Amino acid sequence: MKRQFFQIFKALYLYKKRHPKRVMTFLVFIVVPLVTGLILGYEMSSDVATAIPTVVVNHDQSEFSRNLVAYVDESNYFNVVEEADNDARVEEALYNRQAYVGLIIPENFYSDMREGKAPKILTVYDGSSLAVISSSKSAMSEILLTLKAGYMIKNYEGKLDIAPAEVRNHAIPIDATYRLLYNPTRNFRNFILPGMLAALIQVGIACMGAERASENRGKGLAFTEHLKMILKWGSLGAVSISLTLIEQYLLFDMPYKGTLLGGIVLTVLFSCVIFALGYLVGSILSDRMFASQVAAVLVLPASILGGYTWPALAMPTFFQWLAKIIPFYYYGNRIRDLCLKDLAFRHLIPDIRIMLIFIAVELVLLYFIKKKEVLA
Amino acid sequence: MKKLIELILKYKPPIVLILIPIAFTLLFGAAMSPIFTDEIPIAIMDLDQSDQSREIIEEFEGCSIFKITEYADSTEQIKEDILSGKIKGGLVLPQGFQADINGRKGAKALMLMDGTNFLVGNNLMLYSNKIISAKNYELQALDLASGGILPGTSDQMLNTLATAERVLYNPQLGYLYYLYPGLLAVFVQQTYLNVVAPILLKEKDRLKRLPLNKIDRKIRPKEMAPLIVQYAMMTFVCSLACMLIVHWFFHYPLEGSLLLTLLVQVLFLAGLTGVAFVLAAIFDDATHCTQFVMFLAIPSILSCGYGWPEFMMAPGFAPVMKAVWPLYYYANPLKELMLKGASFDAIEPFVIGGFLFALFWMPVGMWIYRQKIRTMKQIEEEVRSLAEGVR
Repeated sequence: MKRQFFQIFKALYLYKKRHPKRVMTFLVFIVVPLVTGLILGYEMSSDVATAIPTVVVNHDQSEFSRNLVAYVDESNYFNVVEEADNDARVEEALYNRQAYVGLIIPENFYSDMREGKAPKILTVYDGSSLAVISSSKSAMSEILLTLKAGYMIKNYEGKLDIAPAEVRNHAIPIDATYRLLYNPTRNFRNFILPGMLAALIQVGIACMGAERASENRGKGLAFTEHLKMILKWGSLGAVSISLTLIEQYLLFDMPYKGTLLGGIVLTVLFSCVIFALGYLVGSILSDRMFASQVAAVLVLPASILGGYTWPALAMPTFFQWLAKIIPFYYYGNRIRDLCLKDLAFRHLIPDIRIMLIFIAVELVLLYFIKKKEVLA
Repeated sequence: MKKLIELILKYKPPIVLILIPIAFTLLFGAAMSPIFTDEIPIAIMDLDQSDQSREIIEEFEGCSIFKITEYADSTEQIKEDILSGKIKGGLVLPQGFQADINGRKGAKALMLMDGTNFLVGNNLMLYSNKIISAKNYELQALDLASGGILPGTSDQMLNTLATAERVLYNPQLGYLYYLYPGLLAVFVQQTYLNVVAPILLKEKDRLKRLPLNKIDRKIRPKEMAPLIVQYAMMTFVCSLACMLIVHWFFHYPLEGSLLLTLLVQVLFLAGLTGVAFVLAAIFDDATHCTQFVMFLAIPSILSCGYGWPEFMMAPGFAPVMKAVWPLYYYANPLKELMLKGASFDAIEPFVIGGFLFALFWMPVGMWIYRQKIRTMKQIEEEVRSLAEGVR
């Protein structure tokens, strides 16, 4: 057994030693993205925050307030984990991560309500977890608004002499519909994963670019050889991004609604842009490891500075401009759009144009660097 | 330029450990420092052109969250512009809006929002809802007054079942407040691994050249350990500097105890050192190891329970994640300490978990590291003797 294990290990070790480039390419473009996609896709299987631990303090204990608590508990979003008897317990539970939401119903709530004293329900949220609070706040307001609308309708029936069919129009003079398009359930996985997986792979693409450039330094290759290299490795990077999206589509029901052709063109261009960036860095810096690190450090912050989660339009003006020179700004948001929106090819033309400009600039720079290298 | 690069290479570990996290703190802090997402481009489609519809549009114009960038003629145009990303939402007020209000017929309004980035979508929904609710309140009060109900009574009636809301620890829901401890934890993880793994790989290279029977005895803990401790201290000083920068420049609260922060960081770095031994065992080339380490930033932060809390994870995921990667024991208590000023009791599970992680992975990592070197050496000796035999 031990000998067999040794033989397997030996075969793997010798293969890795003989073909380090092949092994690393397989690891960077296939294994890491697919395994990461699998891990993150599985982790976020529930898509949105559900069964959020909630603590309730019901000082009223009327039938109405008990029904309200039951209504909250029965909703998919909340799970009442504790019914406490004092308000301080809510803060304590939130502090200790035993709950993320607190609901405090005041004493004499129902009787005050009937007497028209307008008692207030207090909702308390833990603001330190974005994924939870974005679901819990909207779900709780929806529950309380539904309850309020029902109560208002009853009140109108009692206090104004209005026919039952018309009561609703009086209670809600403007009936607004809010339609959250493309991701109506606020699915966190669909929001975060398409771009984040691309952001992950772009690190590998940039590192590969830096490494290939280090290998080719001083070889005096014709410029067309560098072009071929960028196209070949850029396409490999695009295959890697596509594989992770296919994995999400097949295994985790992530939608893909946009144009397939447009998606492929944009992905190949983006991947070439990132590879060329790494290639430029590797052509400038002679130390192979340092070049890889610099290339990775250049693209890693893009997932934040490119406005993928915190939108660029919310950033100060300087960062809005900075975002515009980051390729991921155009790709990250677009790849999420392609998954969630039925985008046509024409919608992607401005982004494709920008990618072509990026490539053109990179090639001009590379041309001068290589020319200088040959002269030296 | 060449001299500058040589200088950077000479002092690479302190530069990586200190300057990169500080630079990223300043960069990300400044980019995410605005608390609110405002001036969100929206379209208005007013088919009624009445006083009531104009009043509502004026409210939208007056609210800093919205920036009306176009007046559309059709909902198709609004949808198309949302699709292409020109606008993030659109308000549609249909024909007969005012007549329906006056006739108590339940006037309709439609707010379309781009939900692909829900930080934007949520803001649009929240603030458009506020405007419409305020308008409804006004109309309801008028309605009740016309029904002979006194203003005080109508106010009470309308405020019934009103809710008050408190958001603890991050009341304005600032994105930087929410994200920064996680980012800092990742900076620490990435820079530390980037510096420590190459040291272990260098030692591995040296050991590979020794005879097989000397490998175990010739690992240089006396030389490696002080260097690793020195880097760990640099990491700690740097993370403190980052916390102070984010506090001074971006008003980030620093509530927690410095001692507890040090404790969770020491445990994290110990666990991470164990992981570094495993990485140094797997990889034989320092550049490839560094490239792999660069890959770890995004998956580790997304899977450590920071963005997607533990109670929301798929069954069986959390125990495995906690057993194989130590970021859970650092990023989460760091947030608790910085934002909530957590006491030892509140972070105790993380401290115990981090301690057990380090206790397991330090020796196991070292054992894997030694075994790998021994096995490599055995293989190479076998290959060499085979080659000599052939010759």
